[in-house]
Amino acid sequence: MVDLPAKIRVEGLGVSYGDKIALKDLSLQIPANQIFGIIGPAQSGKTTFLKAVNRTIDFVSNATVKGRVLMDNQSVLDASSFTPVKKLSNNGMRDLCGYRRRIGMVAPLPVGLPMTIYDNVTFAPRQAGIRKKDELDTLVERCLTQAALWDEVKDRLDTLGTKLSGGQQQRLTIARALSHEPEVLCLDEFSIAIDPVTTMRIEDVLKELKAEMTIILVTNLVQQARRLAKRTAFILNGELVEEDTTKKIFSGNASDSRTNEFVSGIFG
Amino acid sequence: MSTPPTENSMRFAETELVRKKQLSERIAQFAFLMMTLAMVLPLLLIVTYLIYKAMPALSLGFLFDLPSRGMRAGGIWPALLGTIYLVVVSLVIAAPIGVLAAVYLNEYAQDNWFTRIINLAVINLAGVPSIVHALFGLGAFVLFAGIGRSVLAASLTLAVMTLPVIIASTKEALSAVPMSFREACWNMGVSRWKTIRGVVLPNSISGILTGIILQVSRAAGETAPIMFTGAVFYKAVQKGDVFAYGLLDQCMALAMHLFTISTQVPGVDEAIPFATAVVLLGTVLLVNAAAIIMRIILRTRKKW
Amino acid sequence: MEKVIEFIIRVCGISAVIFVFAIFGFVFWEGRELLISGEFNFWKFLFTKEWYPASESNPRFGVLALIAGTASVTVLAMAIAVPFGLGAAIYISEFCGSRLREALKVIIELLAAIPSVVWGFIGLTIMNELIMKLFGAPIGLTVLNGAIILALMSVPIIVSISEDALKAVPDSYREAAIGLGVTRWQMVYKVLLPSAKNGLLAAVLLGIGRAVGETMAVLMATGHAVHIPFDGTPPFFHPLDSVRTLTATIAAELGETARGSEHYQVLFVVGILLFSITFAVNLTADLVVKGIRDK
Repeated sequence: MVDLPAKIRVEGLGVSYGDKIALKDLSLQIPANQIFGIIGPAQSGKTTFLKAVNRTIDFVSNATVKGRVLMDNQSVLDASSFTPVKKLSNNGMRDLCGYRRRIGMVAPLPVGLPMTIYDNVTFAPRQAGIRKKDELDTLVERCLTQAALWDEVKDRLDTLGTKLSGGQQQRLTIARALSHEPEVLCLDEFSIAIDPVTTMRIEDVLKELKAEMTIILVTNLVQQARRLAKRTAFILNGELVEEDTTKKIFSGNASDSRTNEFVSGIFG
Repeated sequence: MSTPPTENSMRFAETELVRKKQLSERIAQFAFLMMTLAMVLPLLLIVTYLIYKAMPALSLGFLFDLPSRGMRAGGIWPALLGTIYLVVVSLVIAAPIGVLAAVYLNEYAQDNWFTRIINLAVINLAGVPSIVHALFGLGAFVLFAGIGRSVLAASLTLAVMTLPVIIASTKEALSAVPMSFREACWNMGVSRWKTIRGVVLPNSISGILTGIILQVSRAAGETAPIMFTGAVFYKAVQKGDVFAYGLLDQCMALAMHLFTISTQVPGVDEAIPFATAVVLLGTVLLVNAAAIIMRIILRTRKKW
Repeated sequence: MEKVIEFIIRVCGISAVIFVFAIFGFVFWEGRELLISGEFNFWKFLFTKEWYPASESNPRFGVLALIAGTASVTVLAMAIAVPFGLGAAIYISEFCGSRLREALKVIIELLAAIPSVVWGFIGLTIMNELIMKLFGAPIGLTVLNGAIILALMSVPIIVSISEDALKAVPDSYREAAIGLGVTRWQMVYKVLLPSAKNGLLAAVLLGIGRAVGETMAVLMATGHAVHIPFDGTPPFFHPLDSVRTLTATIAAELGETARGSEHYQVLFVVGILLFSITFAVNLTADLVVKGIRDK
């Protein structure tokens, strides 16, 4: 079924926060260079899934994790039984920061950091050691252009990122996620706080970006997944209900009846 | 209220019960207002009275002159200088430790029993009586560490005393920075410390500084902790000598000086203790007011 | 590099714990010889009123009178400060507009900033004369004087913590009560005070903690007599008597003792007693506050 080699493979992933189980035994393969949709109602574990994939789950102090996550066949998270995040190994990586930079993450609500637009985009590269002014300048222009924001802000790169409109801030967030040249771009319900026009612009951006990187699109708008994703997974209450081609999922005769109900808007 | 009742509003006309309710409401409000005023008015009266009694002695010269005739006349320069020394040295010690402790509690500590113990310790440290701090300072710094009664020992004692409050105010400033800023940085592969240094601290520094400034005034007014650890009744200094005290010298201090001349020295010109009190009070209130104004300005100039 | 910084942060993080133990440890250490010597009787220390620590022939260390001094000043101070503090907190949080609220909060913050030695000076001069004139007392440095000063000193903390407690009551409670047509006063009395009672209790406890530990103000304002202001004749409690508190005793006498002498050591034992009292009060206040949060 999978026509391209898997960029990310998840095997038996489980996450719990204290006593609360957020993800149960989830296995998935995310193919490279296409948009992979993840749909499901609120609180179903979609955000937790992304946190486990980019290992920011490590910052949630009461989380325990089990299962495996592999990127390019290399293990980045490996726990045979539920393990507190503090005790998770780095899997031979010097630090997790380098790994996290291989993944770009866009949060549901736009977060312009309280620094200039220029600094917003160059923050991560500078922390990673890029200092040359001209290198940073080209990077800013490239990322902002990719995020379809360059024309609007090129004359005022020194204004505060927090002063932009919601839609602009969300594109700034995307530009920032692109600034560390990720191989995978994750978007977590990116359109939740922005207007439809901006949403369409960002969707166009994503269609272009998929040539260069793998995109994981978590969305609560099922139609968005239908428009963009090649394959789609449906998660409910921390469990993977099914994963198939978007066409099949939305055809109305998916293998699981709950999928049909969800995509046709009966619940969720 | 004053418009004549129309037929419709008659249905809502004041009944006896409603009128009684309104009366009790007014009485309650009035009583609470009076209670509030009962705290505010004494402050104004006392300050006015202190200034009135201090007028004969208050002058710029009073600040910069040396005491004379066995501290019965003259100015307060050595005491003022000593207070500045104590405050500066104690802040240099307490501020970094307090800020880093708050960073630990707000950014690193997990929600477990150990963190609860630390928080409990902070609360209790803030509640330790100042005279017990004095005993601790005497036992630990003056005697055990062998520093002797000195500016350093007194400042260390003051530092321990101000520490919990710096921790509390810094924690508050740090937790005002939205969690989403931190998550955005972590998502970009920025480490925890670099996130703190690059985003959290720059955006809370003004709140942290305000908290520290408020501490300055507290440290300046303390008497008990420095009484047995470094402050003395009298120390001869040169007029206008800004570097009069070394770290290991004993020093005079404004609060201590007020205590001494009002209780231990007979025959002091009446206006002098009042003037000393006004200077001490004025310094403390000015520093406080500055911090409060700074806080108000910052609140209106939020970046997010 | 980053590991080093994080290590330093961790060390600073536990500094508060270290200092709490260090304070207890060092104060205990300086008084250790007296405490472990066979002569020292803890019950006699607590429950006798003869305080003659400097006597050559027969030194006696009974702190009952000092405890009575601390207790009388604290209780009277709270009797004044609690109603006023709660009343002001209710006014600030429920009855006044937002501008007046901000202004009052600033004033209360300034009130809290007045150094204790200045309060002591006010007690020594202004209050002293006032009490002599009003009550015809021979001396104005009394329990009453100290209590009024302490009340003014602890009111800010009572107001600010009570106001926090009242603010923590959800607005939906207020709206529900007002919707039932009760007056605001009834709402405060029947709804707010019961639901904020833990926070208010904590505020009072912290006020007590502050009053018990206060040194300079009571040293200067209470008249310095080792004396129990209670007796068997009505009215049993004499607020116009002079007393001396535990804190004032340490401050007044420590300077005159030789290190290692019994007198010196007993003052550190008094320090341990004070530390224990305030520790217990603050711990209780904290548990009471935690109680609300868990609910």
